[in-house]
Amino acid sequence: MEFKTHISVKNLSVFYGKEPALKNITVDIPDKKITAIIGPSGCGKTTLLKSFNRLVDSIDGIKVSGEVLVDGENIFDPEVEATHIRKKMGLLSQRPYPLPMSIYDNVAYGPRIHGMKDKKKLGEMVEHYLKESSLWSEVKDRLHTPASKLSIGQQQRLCLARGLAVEPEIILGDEPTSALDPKSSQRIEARFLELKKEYTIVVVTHILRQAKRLADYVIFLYLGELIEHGPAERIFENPKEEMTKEYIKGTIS
Amino acid sequence: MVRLGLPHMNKRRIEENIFKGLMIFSTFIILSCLLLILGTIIIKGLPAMNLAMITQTPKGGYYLGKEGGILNAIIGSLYLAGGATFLAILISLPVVLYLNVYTKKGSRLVFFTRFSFDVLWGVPSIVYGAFGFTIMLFLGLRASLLGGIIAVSFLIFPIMSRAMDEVIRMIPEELLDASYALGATRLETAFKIVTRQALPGILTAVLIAFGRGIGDAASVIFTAGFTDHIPYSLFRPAATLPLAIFFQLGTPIPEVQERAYASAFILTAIILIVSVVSRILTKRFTKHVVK
Repeated sequence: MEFKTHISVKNLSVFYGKEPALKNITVDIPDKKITAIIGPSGCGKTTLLKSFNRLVDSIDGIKVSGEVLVDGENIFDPEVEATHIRKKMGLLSQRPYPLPMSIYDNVAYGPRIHGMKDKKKLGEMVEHYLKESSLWSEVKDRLHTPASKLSIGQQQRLCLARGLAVEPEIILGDEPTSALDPKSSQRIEARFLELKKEYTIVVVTHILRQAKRLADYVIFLYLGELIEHGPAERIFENPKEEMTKEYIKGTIS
Repeated sequence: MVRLGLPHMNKRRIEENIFKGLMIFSTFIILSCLLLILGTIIIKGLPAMNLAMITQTPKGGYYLGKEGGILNAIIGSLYLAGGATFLAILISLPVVLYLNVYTKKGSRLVFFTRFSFDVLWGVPSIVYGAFGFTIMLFLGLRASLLGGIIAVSFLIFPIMSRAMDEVIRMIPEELLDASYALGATRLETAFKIVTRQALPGILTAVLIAFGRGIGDAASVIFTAGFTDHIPYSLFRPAATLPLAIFFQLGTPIPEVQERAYASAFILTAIILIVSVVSRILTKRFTKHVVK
């Protein structure tokens, strides 16, 4: 299977103080596919993900070297505005964090800060992206009630709608289903499989079965090192590295 | 089943009960303090309370037991504490937003700023009065409403900042990240997310500061002065309730002393009314806060 590259990571190392979190990672992430970053806890999966939208910037004592090219542009170039990078990416975190405002305002927050003023168009966007994240039918009668009143599964779909509303190219998911019940998780996964037609999706997960269900491409990290990466079937059916074999078998976790 | 040694269990239970008893006793002391203070000002002040107290300014000979009221001090205190609270918000909010949104967690600047809140918090109010007085001399101001507002804002700004800082620090990092991830700048995140999320705490901070400001005598004694008239200009002296209480209590005449307690009652009632009203008002604005 041939892939078109969307995000290209070149010799990326990240240090927390003196502690290396990522060691010299080089990998290409395919366009309009779901890429799963797998590996045990504390192995740098989230750090890698947060490097893509430069959320690592706000961590104290962080040092980054190497390049991450998105559409050919090095996002760690000091000339590049972090806000410009982030507009290209929607993020789903481990636990949904709705903003302290109404359901409507949560979705409208992104478009508004990026300069959307037309009220009618804003309303249409809110409806469109709530439908995209299959939340519309549940909230259409209470758009102006607090987002915090939604169930946690609904909140995560709201966060998805909120992320999509800035019209990104890429969706980043940091174990986006880990706080959700099985039904809600299933809904998020179903949305991902649908959304990959239009978006590049990168998901961190430590649930192997989830990676098998979703991923087209897999990146396996272990203690900050990139052990193996490749098309999902190849990695799961026929891993080359001993470590990957053991992780997939369940000997290490 | 293994039987545990009974004597040992008893000892631990007695220990538990003794300490629980002590804690209940301490709680009781706090509650009785509040009740005693309220009781004293009500019992001693209520006989002297009348409509004239809150609707009239002092007439000639008021401090000797003649006609009049303390409307001058009520209005003066409200202007003064209101103005000082407003000034303090203008200083405190930018400081705490800067500390929590713009700076790195472990930085020295943050550490020293927080340390200075603590030090300033502990500075006695008479020192703020004296400090405010030197500033007034420097600016060529005389004892006036404006002078009082400046001195009191110095007094309450560390209290307000510290209280705001405490609540804003509690906001989870992930909530800020959620805003950044959507491409928001720090400024947008500070004003659209942080202030909204921390609104109940910010309001409490403002109220605590207002309460301290309206009740303080030492910082206004040189700076605001005193007058029998309702203040009509920022550059004229203004009467305040704490000083009205002080002057009335200082007379040898029992009726006037009773009026001091009545004034204390009015002061307490103002603080109570302001807190309750603003709590009710902000209930509406805080429904969005993410728990």
